[in-house]
Amino acid sequence: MLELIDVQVQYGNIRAIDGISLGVARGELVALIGSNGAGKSTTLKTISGLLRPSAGSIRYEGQEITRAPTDRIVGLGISHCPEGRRIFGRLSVRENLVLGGISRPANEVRQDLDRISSLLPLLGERMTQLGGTLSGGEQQMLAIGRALMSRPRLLLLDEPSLGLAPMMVERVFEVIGDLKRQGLTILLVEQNVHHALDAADRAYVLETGRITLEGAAAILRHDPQVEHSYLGR
Amino acid sequence: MDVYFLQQVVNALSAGSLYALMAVGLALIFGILRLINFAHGDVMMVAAYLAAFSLFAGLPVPAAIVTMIVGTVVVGVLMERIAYRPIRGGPEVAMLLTSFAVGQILQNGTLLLTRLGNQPTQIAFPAPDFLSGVVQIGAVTIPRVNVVSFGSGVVLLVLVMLFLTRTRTGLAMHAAAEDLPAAQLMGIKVNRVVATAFALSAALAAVAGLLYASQAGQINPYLGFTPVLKAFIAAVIGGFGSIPGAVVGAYALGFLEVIPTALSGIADVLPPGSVSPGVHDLLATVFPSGLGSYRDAIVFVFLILMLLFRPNGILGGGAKEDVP
Repeated sequence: MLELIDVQVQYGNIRAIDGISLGVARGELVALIGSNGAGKSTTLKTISGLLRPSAGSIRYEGQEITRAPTDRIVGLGISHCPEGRRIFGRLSVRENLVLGGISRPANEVRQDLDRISSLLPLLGERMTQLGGTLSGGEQQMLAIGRALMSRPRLLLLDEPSLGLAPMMVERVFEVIGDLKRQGLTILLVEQNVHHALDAADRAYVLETGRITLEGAAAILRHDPQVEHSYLGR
Repeated sequence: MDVYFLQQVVNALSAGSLYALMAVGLALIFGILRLINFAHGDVMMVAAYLAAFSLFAGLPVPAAIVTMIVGTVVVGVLMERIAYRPIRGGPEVAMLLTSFAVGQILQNGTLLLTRLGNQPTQIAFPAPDFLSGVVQIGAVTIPRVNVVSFGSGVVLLVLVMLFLTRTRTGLAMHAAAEDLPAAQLMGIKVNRVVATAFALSAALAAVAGLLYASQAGQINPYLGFTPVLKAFIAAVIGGFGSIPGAVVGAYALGFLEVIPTALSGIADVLPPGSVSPGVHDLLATVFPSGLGSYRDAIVFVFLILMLLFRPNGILGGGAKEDVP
């Protein structure tokens, strides 16, 4: 479904991503793990068109999207739920959700508001509340709900558990599991490697802009390098 | 005396509307791009010239107004496309300097065109009938342009507010102003949102240009300087970048400017015997008849006080400490 071939991204003279190739098949949940600064978020931003790669190619369902603008990428069915949630704090929950569906016709957006509030009941109760007044966990749910409003076929999820209380982390991963069961394809960036490998089918380990390990999540969980570097065993 | 004060109130509301039309345009663009568009006054000047030449050419007033608005919107959108888009996201000082450059180009371009058309630098503005003369409301006599300024200002500001809060494009503008990359991730076409903001801002400046030129009676290529400065002050007083703040700040500025004029020489306006001689002398000392000429100084003192004690403006909340 999604394929990155030898993608490089530069920030000035610094090469943040140094030729990575990865693939995500339809219906798969693929995790991208690695330490801070390894280039995980940069990879997602490059896929969604916020950053332009300096070399390499990105293909989605057979189409070249390497330098496509973000609005076109969203239109093709890729939705990016960014790191730090990036909720519109001065707008209501409903307005945040409507913005998530802004690339779609207004009547579909109304239906989707009901669909999302039944999927994430937490949001249904708080439609008129300002985004900025929600708790961290609620904001994360809103960020996921907002990303779903564009009816994506591929969801890019960046650090959904970052800074959340343990109970909320469980809730977030329950939602991710639900979405996967509903057939959504997900590329997940996550520093909580334990949870990420539990949820994922496959995973890539990213270190200083390169992929150093890849494979089935069940196998990577028992890989000595992963155990040592990321699982603290 | 009641009549006198009523006239001053109408003057304040009229000036406030004019400043608000300009300040909202500044705030719209600053909100999204963090650009203080000092060329905004020159866009307004272009509108005044477009109106003048359309009327000179014999167009009926409605057609002249449409020509003016459409022409000004084209100028505003081109300005964004040519000058601001290439440096979008660049340092704020680069954008600010660019806006001064754009202003110079618009001024000198207009000057060149008036020269080529064998026109003097300063021309009399052919104010249409509905903007000239006076209206009589009871005992109060008010220039008609002031009444129209206030009325059209209020109507347009309400329309802008409805647009920003009730339409999807307005919502997209809010989102872009709050977090541009996040707005992009929603699939919002940022270029289109920015172009719409410039178009809307230019349309408001066009109306302000027509009203301003009708009030002033004469136009020249430099007339945009004072209005953009006033609009900037209004936006700072209200809370820079906030649209409601710009409106509140503009009317506050309108009243602030009128107060020195209204109070100057108040002791002489009071009917004899209505206050004790001591109060009369005090009023005469505190509000001398020449107070009106200190209008701008008083406004700037107020601005300095605002910046010192409430730097985020009337609607911006108190001074915020940066949390590390």
